[in-house]
Amino acid sequence: MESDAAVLLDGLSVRLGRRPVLDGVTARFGGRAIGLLGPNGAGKTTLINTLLGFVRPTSGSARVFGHDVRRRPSAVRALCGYMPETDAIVPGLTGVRFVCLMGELAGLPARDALVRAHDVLHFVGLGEARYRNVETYSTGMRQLVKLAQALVAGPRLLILDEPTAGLDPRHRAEFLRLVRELLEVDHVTVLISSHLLRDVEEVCDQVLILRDGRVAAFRDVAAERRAAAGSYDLELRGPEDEFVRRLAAAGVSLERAPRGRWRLEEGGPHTIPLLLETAVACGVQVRRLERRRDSLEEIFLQAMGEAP
Amino acid sequence: MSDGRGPLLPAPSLRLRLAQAAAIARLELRHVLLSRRAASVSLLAALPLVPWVLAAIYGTPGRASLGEDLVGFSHFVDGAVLRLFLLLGCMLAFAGLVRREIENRTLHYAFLIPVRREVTMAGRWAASAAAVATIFSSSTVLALALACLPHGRPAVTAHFLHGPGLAQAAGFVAVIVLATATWGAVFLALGLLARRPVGWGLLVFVLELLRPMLPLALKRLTISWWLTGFLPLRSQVKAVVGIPAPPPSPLAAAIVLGAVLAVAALVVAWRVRRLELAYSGG
Amino acid sequence: MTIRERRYVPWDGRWTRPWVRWLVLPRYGLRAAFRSRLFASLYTMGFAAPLLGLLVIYVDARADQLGQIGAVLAGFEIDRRTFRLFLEVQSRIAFVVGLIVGPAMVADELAAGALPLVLARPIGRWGYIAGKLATPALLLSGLTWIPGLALVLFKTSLSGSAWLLANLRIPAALFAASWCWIALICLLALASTAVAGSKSWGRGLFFALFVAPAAAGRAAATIAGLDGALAVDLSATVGTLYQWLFGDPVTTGLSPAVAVLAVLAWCGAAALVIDRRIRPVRIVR
Repeated sequence: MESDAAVLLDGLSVRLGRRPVLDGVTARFGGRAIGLLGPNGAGKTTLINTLLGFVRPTSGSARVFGHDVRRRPSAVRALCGYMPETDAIVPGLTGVRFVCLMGELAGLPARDALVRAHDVLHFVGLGEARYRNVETYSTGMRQLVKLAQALVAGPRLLILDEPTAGLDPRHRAEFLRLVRELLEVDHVTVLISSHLLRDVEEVCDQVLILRDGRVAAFRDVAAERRAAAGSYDLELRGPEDEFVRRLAAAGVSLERAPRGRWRLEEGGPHTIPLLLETAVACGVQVRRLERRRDSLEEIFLQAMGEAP
Repeated sequence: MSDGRGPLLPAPSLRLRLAQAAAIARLELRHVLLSRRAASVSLLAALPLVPWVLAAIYGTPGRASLGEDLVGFSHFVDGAVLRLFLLLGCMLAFAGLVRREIENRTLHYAFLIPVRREVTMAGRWAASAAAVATIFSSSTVLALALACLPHGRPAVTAHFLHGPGLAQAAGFVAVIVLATATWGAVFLALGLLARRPVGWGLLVFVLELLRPMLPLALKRLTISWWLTGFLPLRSQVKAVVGIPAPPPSPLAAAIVLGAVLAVAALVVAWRVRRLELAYSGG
Repeated sequence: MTIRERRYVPWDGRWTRPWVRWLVLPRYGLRAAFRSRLFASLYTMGFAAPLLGLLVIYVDARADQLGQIGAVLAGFEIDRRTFRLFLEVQSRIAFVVGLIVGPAMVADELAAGALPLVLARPIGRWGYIAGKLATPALLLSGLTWIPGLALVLFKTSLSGSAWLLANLRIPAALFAASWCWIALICLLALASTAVAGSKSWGRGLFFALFVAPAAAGRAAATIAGLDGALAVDLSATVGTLYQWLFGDPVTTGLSPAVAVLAVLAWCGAAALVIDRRIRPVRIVR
């Protein structure tokens, strides 16, 4: 039954009450880290809830490592570690007891769960605070203990819902470093739902953008990042058309890019000097010349229909 | 006109404070009446109607005279309405008035308005008291009407239009209003003093429930015993269980209940002024 | 001291069987309950009646060897009424224990919004609910049918198996009646907390459920002469069941059939509330 794709969505539709929240979502998450993006109400959390079996699909199917979420929710949950967005901790327990409880509920024997709880708390950096009651933890520590409980049973799919929400820049960077470290382990696939494009861009190799419950874009950002490695963005002032024509004649083509810019694909070692010489010859000011970045932001804006 | 720290405002007068409290009460009343808590209070207020509805449908007419039935009704108001349903209703409405907002981390919104905290509390207490008293007064008057129903129209008309019926009904409503105001203030104070006011409320409840069994000295510790001083009808029948005691005089009852109300108000004012909102500790 | 390497290692060890995972919850629940010394003292006091029962049974069985004490108890008969009285006393203590422990089971998780976290584990929603119900059920069993059956065994060991054969109804009634009470308390406590959303308000609602309908039912029975109205009075209902199960004449005014139906209705309503409220996500329609 196991499939190489972590998540397989086939025409997945979900209605909550009379409201359609997901509408015919089809995607195959074959990457190691998948970002789930979209504005509020796009259906990101509902998709996660569906994968965990909290919400039943109205039509279509969703599979996690080949297991149908509708037919075998327990098998799916056994493969998943879930870090919810909300401040969901069980009060009255120390950090280590809390993580141990979650491990035991996931199916670890009591003794092993305790050992694993210590291990994962050390891994996330809460080794010193593990005997403190979880309700005394700061926001950053709460996020880390939630990550620890999601990891304790060694999940194949780690689902992180807004993991860096409320974290200061230092804790955010630390958290993303932990996620990247996890991705070095072959075993783990990470699904991150976030509002923060930067988080997803730093960690993910695939991205699913939802809009009004539908797939607005599903892209392999790792491939796009590789493709964009040799391209540049330019901002010009002056007779742009003449400049572009002369460059085309010299065998260098520029394309229109968002925000009134031009894009140079595959800039070789001699292209930049040629470009600058042509600019001087045409009387064009090169106000900006930089390696292309923020490709995810563009993808997102295009998906939202807001690209300039 | 200004010393650089903004214009000086005159010290608020008592009249202004009362107007502020009334405005808060008006705003809160709508909120309270439409809340889920009001639905629970209404359910509690509807429970005393059940026996009278059943009696009106299935009861045997002429089993007792109207006068005897009204004395029985007075017993019912004391035993079931005052000491049970209204007490639970007040606990529900007032004990969580502050505590629930602390749990939900929303109390600071109430304290951010430019009105003294005591005035805000007074307004909230008044709104809840008005809502609870209205709900329970309506159900009690309805129950009274149902209690009279089996005796036929002539007897009821004579009792209410030419006899003491209307005064008795007004008396029952007055007791309900007084009970709501007093218990409301007590539970509001408990909600501010105790971290878990329901536990203390249940202790008060058990004490009130056991009142008939208590000796006079302990009966005097219960609010419901002082409220019986205002009940319009008093039974001549000896209590079947418990230790009988004559009801207090209305004057003594008024003094004691007024004192309880004043002490509770002072406690609320003192506590709410010193309340620090940290929302910590889980 | 253990030296730990700060790195993540996937788990490749053994797993527990899926159908026993919910048993983790009562283990943690019992530990949490007995962390309170006040509760531990109260629970220990609940064994006063079983100890007294042991003493009475022993003295009764050895009356001829105990001189004056035996003579005092000579006319005292240990029969099904004695065991019913024992169960009634223990049921009241069980109510207080249920009031303290029952709402505490899920209140913290509800208030902290931790249900999605727990229900994302492979135990299932009803596994979680069963685990949460098991804690008060175990505690209440320890006060009702377990000591009751222990007393029956003790009596049998002293009076011989003939006594047990002649009174087989007693252990059966002790077991069945106890479970009626346990089921009611556990389900209503969990349902109250699920509705109220916090420990203290859950306790208040649980208490009110036993008091407010009972008062309305008793008032209806007195005023309208309708004994059937007592069906909403939980103590009258369970009292009827106790009398019926122990084979004593029913004096509460309710018929056993109505009492059985009432208990089933209360349990069904509580289960319905639990099913609607204990969910990982609340759907706003």
